[in-house]
Amino acid sequence: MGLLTDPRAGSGKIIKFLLKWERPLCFFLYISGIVWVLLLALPIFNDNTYFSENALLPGLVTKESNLEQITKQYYTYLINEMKRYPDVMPYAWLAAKLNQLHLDVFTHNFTLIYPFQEQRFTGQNIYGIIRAPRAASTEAIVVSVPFRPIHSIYLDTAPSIALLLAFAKFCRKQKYWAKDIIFLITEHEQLGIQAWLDAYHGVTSGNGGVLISGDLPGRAGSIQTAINLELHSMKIASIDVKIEGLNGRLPNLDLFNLAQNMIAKEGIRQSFQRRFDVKYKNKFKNWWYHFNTLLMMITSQATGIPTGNHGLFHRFGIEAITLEGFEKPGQQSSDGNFYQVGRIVESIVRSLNNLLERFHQSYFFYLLPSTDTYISIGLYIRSLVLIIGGIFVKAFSMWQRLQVSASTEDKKNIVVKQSKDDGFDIGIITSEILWAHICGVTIATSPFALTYVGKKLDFRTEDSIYFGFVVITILTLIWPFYFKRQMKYKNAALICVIALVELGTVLMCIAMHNFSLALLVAVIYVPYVFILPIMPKQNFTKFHRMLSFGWVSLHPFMIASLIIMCYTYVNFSSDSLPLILFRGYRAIKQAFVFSIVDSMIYGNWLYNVTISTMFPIWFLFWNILCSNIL
Amino acid sequence: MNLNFIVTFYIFHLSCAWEIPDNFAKTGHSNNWAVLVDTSRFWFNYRHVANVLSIYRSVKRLGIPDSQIILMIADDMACNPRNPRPATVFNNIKQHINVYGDDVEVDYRGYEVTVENFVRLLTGRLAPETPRSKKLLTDEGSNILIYLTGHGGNGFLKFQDSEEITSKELGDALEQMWQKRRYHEILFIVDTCQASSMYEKFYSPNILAVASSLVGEDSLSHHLDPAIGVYIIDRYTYYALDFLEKVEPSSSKTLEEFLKVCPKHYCLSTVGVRKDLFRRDPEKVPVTDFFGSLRPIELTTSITNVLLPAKTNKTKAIEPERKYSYVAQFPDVSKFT
Repeated sequence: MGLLTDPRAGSGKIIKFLLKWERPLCFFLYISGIVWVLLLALPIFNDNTYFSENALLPGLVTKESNLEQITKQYYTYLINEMKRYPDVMPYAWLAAKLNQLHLDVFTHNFTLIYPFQEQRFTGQNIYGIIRAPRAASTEAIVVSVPFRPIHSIYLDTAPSIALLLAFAKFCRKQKYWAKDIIFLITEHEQLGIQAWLDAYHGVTSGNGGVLISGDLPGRAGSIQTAINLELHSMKIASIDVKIEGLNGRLPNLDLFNLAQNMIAKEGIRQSFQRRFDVKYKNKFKNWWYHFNTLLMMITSQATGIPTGNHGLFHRFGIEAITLEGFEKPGQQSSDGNFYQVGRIVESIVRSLNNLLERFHQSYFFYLLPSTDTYISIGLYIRSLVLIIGGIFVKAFSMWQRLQVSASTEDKKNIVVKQSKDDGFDIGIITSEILWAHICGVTIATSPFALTYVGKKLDFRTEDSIYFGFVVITILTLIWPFYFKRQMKYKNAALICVIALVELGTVLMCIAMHNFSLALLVAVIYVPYVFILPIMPKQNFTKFHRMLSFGWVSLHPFMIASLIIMCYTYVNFSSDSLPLILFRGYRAIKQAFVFSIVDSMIYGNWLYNVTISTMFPIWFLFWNILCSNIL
Repeated sequence: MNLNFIVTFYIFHLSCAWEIPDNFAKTGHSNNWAVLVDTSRFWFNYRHVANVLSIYRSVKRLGIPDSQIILMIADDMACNPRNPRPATVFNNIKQHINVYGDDVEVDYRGYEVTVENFVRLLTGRLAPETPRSKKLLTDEGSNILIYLTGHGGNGFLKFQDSEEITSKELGDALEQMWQKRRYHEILFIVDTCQASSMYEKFYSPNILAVASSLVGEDSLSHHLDPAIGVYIIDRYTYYALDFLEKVEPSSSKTLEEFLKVCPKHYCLSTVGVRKDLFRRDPEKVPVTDFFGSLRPIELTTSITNVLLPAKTNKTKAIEPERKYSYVAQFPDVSKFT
């Protein structure tokens, strides 16, 4: 007995209760966690959004802008210019237009050195600054638009550039700005904005030597907030507010509310996750609709990929959202309504201008089931805590069982042998855990080696990474069968306990950063962990064998592939099965490369965290399941 | 004899014609002071600055000179970069009256508006080098109007988002003033949320306290100016001003009327009044006792003999004769030469 262990431990009422009801209790906690998530979408569980920040004064001021005509003019000019240069940004034209408005105009060059192929890509951002006329240039607001050439695969953003220019012209004449306004037009989607932000703050967010952002010729004050515009048409029927940022960060709820309120005030339909607020009379239908919106937010947040250019601002403590405007499909005849859209932007920026401090009043951690209700962290975290609680209950009761069995053995053998060698073999346990983690870290850093080998074999980056991962997956799966190992039950159980505690801790840590990711991982992994047959092999039934083989599907690479396949199936369900499989296969290849490249350029940690924490945990369990437990 | 009668009759008649209003002559004060405090800063608190400047305008119009008004304003709204009408502060949507005007004398501004400075000002415990304009130089004959506006809670008033004055502290400060004979009477007006909690702890005599709301109530703003984009003025002050605008230095409106300026359906909060410390009946006290600066002048009919000093008995001060001599040059270099 260890010094700190109370010899009477294990005889308490609670502990007895835990040991007796361990499995039902674990499942009860899990199910109640899931039920809690389901209940979150119920209107009675949501609060209506409200403004916490007094300084915003949302929509109190008369809107003065009328940008319809000017936007149209700029739009026709811009379209002509874009047709002349179908593949690049009309730098000169944009800079000239901003110059005409007497803004401080600068261009910013950046270079991307593609990590695996030593290729160089270059790009330019153009930005103009309106200096606050009666205040020191200590704070700034950014209005940005991603430029997309005509041949871009993404939806057109030319109308938003036209609006940006028109709005800049309007702002130039006003005298009430207390903050500088930066009008920023970026190239190459998120690369441009990432490079610009890095250059603005003089940092490198991703790996060194990948995205070379250089320096900026001109700056304004510290950026407080940013509004990113992606308007796809000159006739906007609805505006979607996008919030999910890099690694699942969200902007302050006040900013989201502000945008939603202003859009509603101007009589344009507002949506979240491209879903309008629909109120069904049927309560179940209502709940189901909200729940789907919630689920879409959770899934998009879990990937950690920004849904728009706003997502990269969050890292610097800048609250940012994207307003994405859509045309009503099939509606061609109606006039443009940039009068309203311009007023939305005006009133949002005017409110932001009123801010005295950074957004700090309202929530940073929240989930949204609709545009006007929210779920605070205090409510939603409970679901995950319940689910994770089960893991700790399981780990604790396993540990208690080990103690109980040890103490009963002690009593039997006390006459025969005073010191029987029945303790845990620390060496085996530590090496097991250590090796699993070393494997994890090695795989996390393997893409460079894989592409290097792939290049020798004349593979493309995608292929070399994908096949490399396939090989790694197969190796990790069959490894325990080649090296049949024997392990004492006690040691195996202790490894299991440690792995469980690690899983619980890791999930909780992830939840602190990206709740959605932690929730999804927990929902998938936790029930399986509860039923894993950790027991001597002689007790194994066919069912147990099946269960342990099921664990294969939870290999991080496997589950990622499965999820992407399902996603492809959902999106292209009309195609034939082989085509879907082929699409899925290509999507998986790209997803792996993107997740790795994202982690290098932007610092997205989805790949690194899953491989260096979830993989070792999976591997530990897999080793135990496959070894011969005595 | 006959002539004598006529003369006395005439004198009697004259005194009747020039009879002084009853309540006018009975005030015991000799001078008027006003302490007007806005405790909150930031653009969205525009209305508090407008409140205090409106009251300032009224008391100045009714005759209290700038030298006897202590104006404390925590933020400069006129020069706020967000102000679309630079160098003005309005208290009305039609932007009739620019209360910032061209002769506003702010005595304590910005970060000088602190609890410490306020209490020191009231109790007269300012540093000796403090300029005269920042001192409340009152005496036992002074009627003081104290007007506070800002954000309050139950039992405190917030100063500048960084500190508060509690009602107990304020009560003690007023008691100190009384003991130091720094006032004759005080009209204490406070326009904040839960304002009545501020006067609950007062225990010094001769204070009439008015609060814009009772404990548990919010004081609300009156209206918004969409051209400026902020709420312009608070309800209580708006209606109080409405009343004060009609008061002239010579008018005989009483405090009782002033106490009724904002009934519940105007203010949306209940105006609280505390009369138990005040020894006079508000119905008989003219508003100008606090808002104006009328020196009570007593006309007398009796003849007073002003005797000229008969003899000047000046004693000559004898100045001692002084002898001047040169002091040795310093440093004394004579011994080295």
